[in-house]
Amino acid sequence: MASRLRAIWLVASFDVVESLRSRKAVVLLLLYALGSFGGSAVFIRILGAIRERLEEEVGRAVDMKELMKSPGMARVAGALTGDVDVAGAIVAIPPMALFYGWLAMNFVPLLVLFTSVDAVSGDLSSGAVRYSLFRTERLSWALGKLLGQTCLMAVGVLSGALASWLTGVIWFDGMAVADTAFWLLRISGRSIVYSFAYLGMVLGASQIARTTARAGGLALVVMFLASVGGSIVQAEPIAERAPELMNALSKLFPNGHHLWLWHPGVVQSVSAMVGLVLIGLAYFGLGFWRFSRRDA
Amino acid sequence: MSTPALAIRALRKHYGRTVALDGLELEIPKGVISGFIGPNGAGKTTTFGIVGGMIRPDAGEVDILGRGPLEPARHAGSVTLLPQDCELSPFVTLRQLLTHYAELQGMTRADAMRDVDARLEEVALTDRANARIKTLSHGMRRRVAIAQALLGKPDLVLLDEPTSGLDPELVVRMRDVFASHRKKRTLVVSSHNLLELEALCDHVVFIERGRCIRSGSMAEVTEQGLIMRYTVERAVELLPLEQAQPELEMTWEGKTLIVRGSRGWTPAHLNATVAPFLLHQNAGLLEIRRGKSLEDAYLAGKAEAEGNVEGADDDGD
Repeated sequence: MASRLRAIWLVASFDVVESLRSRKAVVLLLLYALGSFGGSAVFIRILGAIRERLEEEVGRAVDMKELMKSPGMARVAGALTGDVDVAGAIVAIPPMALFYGWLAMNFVPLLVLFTSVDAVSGDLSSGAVRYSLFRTERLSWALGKLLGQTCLMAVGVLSGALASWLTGVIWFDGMAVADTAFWLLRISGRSIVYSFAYLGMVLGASQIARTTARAGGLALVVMFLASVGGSIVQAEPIAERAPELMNALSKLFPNGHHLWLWHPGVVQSVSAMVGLVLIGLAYFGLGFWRFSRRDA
Repeated sequence: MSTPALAIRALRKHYGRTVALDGLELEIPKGVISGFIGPNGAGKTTTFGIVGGMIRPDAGEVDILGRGPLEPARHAGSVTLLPQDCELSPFVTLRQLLTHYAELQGMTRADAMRDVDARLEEVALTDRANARIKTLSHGMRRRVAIAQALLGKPDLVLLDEPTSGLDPELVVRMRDVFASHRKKRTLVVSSHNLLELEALCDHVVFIERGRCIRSGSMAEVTEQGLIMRYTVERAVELLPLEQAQPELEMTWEGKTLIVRGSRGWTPAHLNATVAPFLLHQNAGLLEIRRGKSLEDAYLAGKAEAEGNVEGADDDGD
């Protein structure tokens, strides 16, 4: 067991070094951080405009916390989420952290697709895998790749959070600096867990296809189907017909856990995280099932 | 009898309709440098792939060092492989890459770093240790690939076309490197360069259409104990020698006299008998060689195998 863990660690750390030295990952992570920076700046401008409009209407200065905790905002959040508890939790999150959460959960899956799709398929197509597989078991090697790419994704998510926080520090008047940093860290953790489900899909595809192009195509199709499938089973007309069945089915898709990730209850948020990790592992395992039986 | 380094029984593998291995059987004893010889598509790379755990066989058994088929946990660094035409990670340095491989096969970091230095010295790449792989020439990359196969203390090393793409000077250097591992470990070297293998190997395996057509020690296969070849300036009448030594079998192949001794004859004994005769006949003795060349042995083995196949076909008809 110890030697397997050591092998996983060795493969993961080498994978991170290799990815960073290839510069492709660095460029993509920088682009993502820049996107976070730019998106946050635009968000601050929109927020400022809303506040100005509101101040004109009420005829006095409006505090951002006041705005977020206003009954109107609670109604909007409640309507969007359909869950009073989640809506209450969301309006308590500092706006910059809330925006970054939205950004990360929408864009990190795409970042993962671009950075990780060649993690296994690249080594298969170049033959580089042949230098490793007589030295360590396929499972350790594949898990090492998964761990390495998870670390890389975590670096990306955290660098995006840092970019968002810095944008707020520079341009967002009255931002609660420490509180926002704390929430950005919490939300980054949730985003990493959420994106892990997609990382599992990408690495699953990367183990099945022999070339990076095919793996990319397969991963895109799987991600698209998972996204559409999750939306269909949660769509009101369908969900109303068999709510329990549809609710259970929704847990098979990443977006079926999306809402509970924001839930203030520990049981709900932890179960969402466990569900997302299991989805990621299931897709990864499916890919490994093929990889373990194929000629490398 | 000691356990062979590699034993293969009834190994089969096909890719679609193409049969790569057709019941391959072979044994390679421990401590030898074995030449793995066959034409393109004979199944050499597939065999290495199966032994190295990269390719799944359809049927058959592989026993490595008496411990069964390759299980990295079970064989832990005792089997290494130089695959053919596989790219090395281009972005890391030689030292990073080799240290990673050494650690992955179970060495501690300190041991790995020491061993990497020794291997880089062996393949004459010490001065490029901190260069990225992508900055190296094809020949240099090939030497890095050789270095990774010699990391640690493997008992069995499989080398698939190790010297392809190397210049002649490096071919000689690499041959010396492989020879320096003789007796310490078993090396199986696949190559099309029979002259190179003849100079290096003490055991050979001929493979043809996924089957082993002949294997054994180099001396046995090339009949070094029984056959002598004398190349001369002009062929001479052999009758006097045939009358004096009727147990010798002699034939001319152009200007090369091939003499086959029966049991009891040694190469030294043959030389003492034949060379003076040729000198006395003013044949102009140019070269004396033991046994057949590996090329001749291979072609003879191939012809024999084809004859057997045709014979079997005829019987079938």
